[in-house]
Amino acid sequence: MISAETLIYLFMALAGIGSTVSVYYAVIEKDLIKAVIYSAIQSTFYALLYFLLMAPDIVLVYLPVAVGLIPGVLILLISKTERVEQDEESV
Amino acid sequence: MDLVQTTILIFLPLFLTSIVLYLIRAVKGPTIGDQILAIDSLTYDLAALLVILGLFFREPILIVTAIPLALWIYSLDIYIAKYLEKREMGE
Repeated sequence: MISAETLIYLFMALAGIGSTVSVYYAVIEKDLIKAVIYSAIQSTFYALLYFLLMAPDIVLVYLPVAVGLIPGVLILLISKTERVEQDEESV
Repeated sequence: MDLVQTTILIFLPLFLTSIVLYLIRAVKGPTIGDQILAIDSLTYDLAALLVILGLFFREPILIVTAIPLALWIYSLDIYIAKYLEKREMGE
């Protein structure tokens, strides 16, 4: 039977891989709303990572900022400009 | 290791599998609604996982972090829904 430490390290590896994949998609995405959603996925996985590293106080501070405040401010910013990012040649 | 910890250890790989499936749908999702629904399900699953891990480690302070996680991911739904409905935020 698999031990508890191995399972916790598996969760950490999954959180790291998932956050890296979502950061990659957030960088290359042209639709800015989708980029905000990918950034929220990354924030959620970072919260799980901080929790598994036994820092619940960091999680309590990180969650309202990274999941609540940053997407709200970014969507407020996107609503003032255009939603789809332009190519450099057409600008 | 008593009965509770053994039972939690048996059911933790199911959480691991479900997080992988939610991540695939959150990254691939054809529309924004699919991605938002996937990240919602992922986060509620993670909140349950945080409570179960707090029970597993026998540290009650870890359980507190599940409440803001489930609370603040709901604000992301409101932001995205408000933007998609009116193309604006605030006002």
